[in-house]
Amino acid sequence: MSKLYNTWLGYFLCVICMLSCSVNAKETLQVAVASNFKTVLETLLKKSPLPNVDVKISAASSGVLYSQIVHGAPFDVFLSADDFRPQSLIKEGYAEQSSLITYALGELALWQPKAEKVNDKVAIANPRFSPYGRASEYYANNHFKKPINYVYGNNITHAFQFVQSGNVGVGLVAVSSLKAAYSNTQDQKYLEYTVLPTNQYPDIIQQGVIISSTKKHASAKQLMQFLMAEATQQQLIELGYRIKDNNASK
Amino acid sequence: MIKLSLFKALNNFDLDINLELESFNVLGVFGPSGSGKSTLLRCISGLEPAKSVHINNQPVHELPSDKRGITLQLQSCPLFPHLDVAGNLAFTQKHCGNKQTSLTLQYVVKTLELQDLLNRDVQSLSGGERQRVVFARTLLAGQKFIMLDEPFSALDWSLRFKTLTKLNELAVKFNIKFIIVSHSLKELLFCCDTLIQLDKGKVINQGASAHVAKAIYANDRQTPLSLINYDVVKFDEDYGLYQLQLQQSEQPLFVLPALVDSSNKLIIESEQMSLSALKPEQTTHSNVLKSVLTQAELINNKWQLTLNVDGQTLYCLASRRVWDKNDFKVGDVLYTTISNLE
Amino acid sequence: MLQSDLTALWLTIKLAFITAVLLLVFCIPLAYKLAGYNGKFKPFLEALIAMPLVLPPTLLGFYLLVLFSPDHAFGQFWFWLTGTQLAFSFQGVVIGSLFYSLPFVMQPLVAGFKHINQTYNEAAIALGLSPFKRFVHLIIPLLKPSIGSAFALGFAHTLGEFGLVLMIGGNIQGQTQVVSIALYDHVESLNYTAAHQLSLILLAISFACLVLLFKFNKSIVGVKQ
Repeated sequence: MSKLYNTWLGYFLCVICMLSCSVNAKETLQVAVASNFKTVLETLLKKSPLPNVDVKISAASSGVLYSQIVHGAPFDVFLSADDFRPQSLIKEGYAEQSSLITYALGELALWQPKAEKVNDKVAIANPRFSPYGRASEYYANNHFKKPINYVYGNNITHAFQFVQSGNVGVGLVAVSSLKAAYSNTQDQKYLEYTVLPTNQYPDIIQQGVIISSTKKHASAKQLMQFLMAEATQQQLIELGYRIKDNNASK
Repeated sequence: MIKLSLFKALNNFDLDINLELESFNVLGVFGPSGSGKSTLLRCISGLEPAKSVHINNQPVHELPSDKRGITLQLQSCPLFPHLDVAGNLAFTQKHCGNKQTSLTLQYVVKTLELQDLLNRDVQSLSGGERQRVVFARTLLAGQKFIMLDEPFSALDWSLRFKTLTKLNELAVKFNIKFIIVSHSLKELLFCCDTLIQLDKGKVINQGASAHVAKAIYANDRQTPLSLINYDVVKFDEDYGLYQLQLQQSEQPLFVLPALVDSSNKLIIESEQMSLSALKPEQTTHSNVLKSVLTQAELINNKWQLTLNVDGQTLYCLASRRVWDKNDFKVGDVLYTTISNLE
Repeated sequence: MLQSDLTALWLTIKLAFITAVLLLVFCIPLAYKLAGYNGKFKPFLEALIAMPLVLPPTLLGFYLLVLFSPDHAFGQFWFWLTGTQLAFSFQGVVIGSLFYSLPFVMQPLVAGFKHINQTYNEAAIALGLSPFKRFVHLIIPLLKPSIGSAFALGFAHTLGEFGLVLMIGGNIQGQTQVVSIALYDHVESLNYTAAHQLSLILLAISFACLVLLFKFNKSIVGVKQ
């Protein structure tokens, strides 16, 4: 009985080894993505997958990802929600200057799904560390009656959730969140927003870099080129982002 | 007259009791493990539910435990660890309501000689000390109906007999009825006036202790025990022994102080006795009693002999070989040596 | 030390204390019943109480966000009762903490009651004590170490609460910005010095709690020393 078990265990382990050692025609690319861009990236890649590149996405807040990269996390590409962190990485030698791209610009909207407000609070992302939050606070300070009762979400999606759940009556949220929610549910309330004029708040510059320690330069470059391709950029507009006119760093 | 009827269905048998007893002071409940003794007490107390419990025709099974006027001391009875000994004793005195007896803490402490233990932590007590404190605590609950489950198993025989004697005195003085469960017939024979034998949930023997004990010896492969009543003649300072005299007799016994107490009763085990036809002057033996063999029965391949010593009864076992060798006959005068008394 | 950090510290201690006390009040009678209950629903009840142990706090927080919403029955009821909103308020965070730390308070209490029941409670019933006297004079004194453990555990656990408060707190200073959130903010904005400072203080307080806890834990029931 034991002998039979051992034999089957041996076969099983063999197969597992073979499968994991099998030469993948595709190269795996580890991409660190700011949380709010994760589903967008997945949507983009589903529509036009990269040939020969298997993109593995790790999503977290930009701050967390930054810390991880600085401490040696094996990412190949970093797509941040801001411009500050990719440029910090470049300055400290963790990323390549030449690879810096502005892959999207965030777009803000004022969202008030119900006509009667449930309270006088305003939901925004935390301006201390979220570029969306900083932009929202800038706009609100210039356009809302003071004092403003902010409720801080720890990122722009969280702020969106506050309004979505009905706990806050009005919020400054990402247009991309609204578009994604509408396409998922077809619920009218996701259409009750006003896109804010872009000259009334600081640009929300979302930049990406290739990490210096990567061994997959070619694939990484492929991804960056894909993101900046005309077709992709047009898609981003549909998904609720703005685009920059050129690739130059700020 | 005390009537008790109780019914509870158990796993292997039913606990089915219908007792009518002459009034007793101390009732003993004897039986093997698993016969239902502890369950019986628990049902009377209310710790365990029973289909019906009637005491003197009053239904009691609906009443909660604290309203039945009965105190039960469990076999495992723990002392409360957050109080010292004095605190434990005061606990029942303070918090048990509806007291029926006038026992005071001072009286109980004095009677059971617990003065030195009062300030001790309960963890530091020996097994025997603990049992005496637990008994005192039970008494101070102040009820007239007290049930004890193996209460003195950790006491050595000398101390145990002393404590049982005090129990008897308390029963008489304060009109308390005790029910004691034990698997030691020696203990029960010593202190109980009435005995019941329990087997598989039914009472198979009941009555005066001596009678029930005799029946148990006959049926149950129990080594018979003899109960001797004595009077104290004097204390011999020189030898450190008490000179006792059997009641209704002039025959003396010389006994260590440890075995003598105010109960004036002595229990003798069969192993302590040896028989001879020889007169005591012809031997080196001491504590020899002249007796007449009144009955001899062959039970379980041993001869159970009943001897009459001036009106009191001794029971003794003899092997077949000894019996055949000595050719004893009913009516013979035999000299019984009792060892381990001095 | 930043003023905001001091505010966060004070808020966190307040939160942990109030949560632990409320949980004790709620859990002592519940634990008493649960310890004595041996019916067929017992495993389900125990599992239900232990759920906050295994659920991710963010999940708890998310469902509380839905629960508190004025769009739903509970949120509306609360508004009708108090005129205020539960999300983004201290009260809301307290309610969340009650769920979050429930098993940490329940379990030592249940263990304490079980031990007392097995050993001492039965003896007290047999001695003829009324249920009330038993509870007040025997069970509660014996339960003191368990109560101490339960309080210390509930307190210490709530001190470290993060995911749940993150979801429903809204990060409002003086109301819902507890130390763990303030720490998160410092780290997110790369302000590591402030993060270190605050962490050390939180560590020290939590450690002190646990030391107390293990002092109590010497015995599961009150013992006269």
